[in-house]
Amino acid sequence: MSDGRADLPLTYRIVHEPRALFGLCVLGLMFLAAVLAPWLSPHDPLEQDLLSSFLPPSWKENGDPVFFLGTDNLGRDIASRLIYGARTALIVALIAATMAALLGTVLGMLAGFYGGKTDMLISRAVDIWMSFPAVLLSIVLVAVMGAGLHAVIIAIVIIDWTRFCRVIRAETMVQKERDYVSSAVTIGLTRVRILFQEVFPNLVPLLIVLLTLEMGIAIVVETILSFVGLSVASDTPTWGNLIQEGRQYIHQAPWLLGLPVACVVMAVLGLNALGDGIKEVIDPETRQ
Amino acid sequence: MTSALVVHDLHLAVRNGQVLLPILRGINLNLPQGEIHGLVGESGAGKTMLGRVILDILPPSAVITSGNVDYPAHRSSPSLNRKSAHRRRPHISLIPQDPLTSLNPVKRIGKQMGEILRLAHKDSSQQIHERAKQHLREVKIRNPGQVLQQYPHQLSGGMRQRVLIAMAFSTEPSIIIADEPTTALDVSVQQRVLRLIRDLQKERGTTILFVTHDLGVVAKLCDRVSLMHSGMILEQGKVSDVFQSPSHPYTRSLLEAIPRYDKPREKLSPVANDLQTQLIREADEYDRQRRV
Amino acid sequence: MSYPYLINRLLLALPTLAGAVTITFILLRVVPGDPIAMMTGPGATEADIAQLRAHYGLDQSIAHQFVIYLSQLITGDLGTSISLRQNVGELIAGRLPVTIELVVIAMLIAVGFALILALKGTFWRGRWPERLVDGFIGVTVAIPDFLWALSLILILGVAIPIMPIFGRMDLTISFDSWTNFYLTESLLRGRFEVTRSVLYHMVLPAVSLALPLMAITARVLKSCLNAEMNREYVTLARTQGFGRLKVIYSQALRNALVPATALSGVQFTFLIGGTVLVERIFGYPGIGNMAIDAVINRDLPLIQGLVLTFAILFILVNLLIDLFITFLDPRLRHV
Repeated sequence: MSDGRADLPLTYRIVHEPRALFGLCVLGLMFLAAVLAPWLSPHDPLEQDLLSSFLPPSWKENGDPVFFLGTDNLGRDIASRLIYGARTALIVALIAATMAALLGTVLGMLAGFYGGKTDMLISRAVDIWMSFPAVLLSIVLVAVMGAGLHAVIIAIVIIDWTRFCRVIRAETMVQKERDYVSSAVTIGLTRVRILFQEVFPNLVPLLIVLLTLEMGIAIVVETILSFVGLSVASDTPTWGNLIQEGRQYIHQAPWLLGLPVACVVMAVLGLNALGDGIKEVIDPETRQ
Repeated sequence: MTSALVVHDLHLAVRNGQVLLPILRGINLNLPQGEIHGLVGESGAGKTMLGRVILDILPPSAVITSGNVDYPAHRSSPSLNRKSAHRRRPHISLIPQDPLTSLNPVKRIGKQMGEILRLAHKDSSQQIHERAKQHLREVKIRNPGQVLQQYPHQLSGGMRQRVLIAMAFSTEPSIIIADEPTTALDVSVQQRVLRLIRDLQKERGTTILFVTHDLGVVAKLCDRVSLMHSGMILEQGKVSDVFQSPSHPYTRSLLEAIPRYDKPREKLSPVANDLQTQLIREADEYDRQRRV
Repeated sequence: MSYPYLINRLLLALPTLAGAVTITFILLRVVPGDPIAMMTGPGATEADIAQLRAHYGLDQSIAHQFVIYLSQLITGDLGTSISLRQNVGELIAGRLPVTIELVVIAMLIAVGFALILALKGTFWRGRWPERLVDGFIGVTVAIPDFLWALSLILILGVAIPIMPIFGRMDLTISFDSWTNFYLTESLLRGRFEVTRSVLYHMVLPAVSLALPLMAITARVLKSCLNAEMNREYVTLARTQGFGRLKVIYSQALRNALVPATALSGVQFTFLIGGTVLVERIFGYPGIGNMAIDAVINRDLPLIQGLVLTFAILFILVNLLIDLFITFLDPRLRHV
């Protein structure tokens, strides 16, 4: 069925898809928080003020308007720590997701396009990867590499390349059968060139969707690793560290857990909505 | 003779967003009891949609804008379904087009037939089983006991169509809609299936609306025929009359389009493009006049 | 569904298992942390450490260690835990029932609610309740079990404190279990106060694990059901006098379950993987919780044994899913 909006530019249609718009807003907020962290945060996120520890958010009883979202056990400002946490989350999300996408896409394309032994080898590797519990594997990996942001990123890449690999392999196999590939063969292009110049552009929409979803996953994995105590040093404000600390005072100061959990949930929901929204816009088959 | 099925000035449209697209434009049909009526038309003519109206299985997007379907020969309580155009609805069966996809692939034939029979009879499983066997025997299946134990994918296309015919007749319907029941079959099997339908029809006096695009089948099987295009009936009459002296140019061009073995060298003549365009224009004109 | 098929499937799983074992083994040997140092504490002499190192075979080359490990593995010996100083096989066997009961209940919750959502959504097709179902699925599917666990603790454990958020059952009840399958055993022995307490403690962790699986299964099943509803055998069934609801239940559902199970199958293994964190968050004494302790303590044999256990569980679940699909679809049985 013809859709009058199909001729409009892609960005226009994405901005007018409610879910994608919501996702873009969330991503935009995170981006702002990450870039402008030093100017946005009312306090130094590491500054301790033991006299004003466990202050509830300012709108509650006993709240102090100076500490808008309250303070933790050491009297550190939660709002500032959350803003700096967005920075870590975004860095991990961007770098880890891009690298996982790169690795998974190249392997997936090779497996899907060349088939035969290449495919068998790569698919087998994916199978083995999938037989590990991902979370446990990431914990083991970070334990192996030692805590730190680089270890977290590498762990995410090592685990999540399979997500890209499986989907891209399947899609490459579909694209390979399309007519444009046969015509590229008949005009004598080399196979590598066909794969990267002809097939790859057709994978980009799918890749963008996967990348968006993977960013959400990366944020969660970073949170999980901080939570287990294996991510960056515990005095660095990350959402995972905040959750880990907050959990210890859950009855005394539930906002210490609630606020960072809310941040992660919003980020994950936003990135998911963005992925779904983009998929809806670029994939004509899901449209009725 | 009393009519089994009367369709009176039926208009039907499909909702697409805010607009209603007309699909059927004033269909009139009158089928006496025991008639086999051929409904001929190319794809998109509205044949299937007409069948669905009669069967009362319209998709939610389809709207009956005027007209109704009536069953004068049928004496039963009025239909409770006020949304549909039906006054009274006797049991109407469908013989579907594609025997490969019309049986539930995960259920044994015996189970599928049993479910249908159980809706009509309060019998023990044993009795239901016997009934199912009997119905299969009537469609000339020699090993009904074995077929009942089998899954659809274990049967040939012809066998599956026989099972579907047995199912259609098993509810003792007064009307059967046969929706191109032989299109998906081998030519050699087609003839046998057609003969089977005709024999069962003769025996029981069932009224059949036979939807097809094959004029050859109509000539062999039907008493009367209606020709449809763009949701309108262009020509209606006894098969012999229509075939010998077609009055509408569309009918003429359809008859000329049949490849004939006795004139092999003659050029195959497709229905001319300008005729198609003209018919579509007439349909548009019809819509315009109705709207005024 | 024949034996040769089963055996074939199991044989195919072996290389995967071998790969998993090898990769974990090699990964763990390049750990910079020293398990022996962690174990002995500051007062130990060089000689003590060396002796312990030899005791656990850690003074050998990696290749040699691997050969020893494999030869033990074949006889069913998983080695001795460094941090807990017990046989790894026994340790895991003691904790595994806890996780199995939790996982089974979580899967039942997930599948049950997924069925309800998908069937209701299909029945309400094109009307506003369908949008409600889709919206609920859309939000649920995005949030991982880890975040569900924390959110549920905050909502039902702290804000409205009606649910227990820690442990497997009330510590005031004494229950001397023989098998550690508390739920099953307490039911069989008629100790219903134990059953009640165990179930009560299980609600939040099981629901946290179940929600993501429920959402994805409901979404896949619903789209498969919608596809089935357009098939001809369904249309035919409608003409044969089956009502709308009955057509969905008795005709379309079983057919839709075949692709739906195949598509969401891998998510069942994700649920098992989820126990690692969810058990940690709820202080639930299963193998997942144990795994995090093992990693923190650099307990090589225990990590090794746990990864192997998880891999076997994953492979078994995949096998069960395959069998279920063959059971559903007769066309696959007669190939």
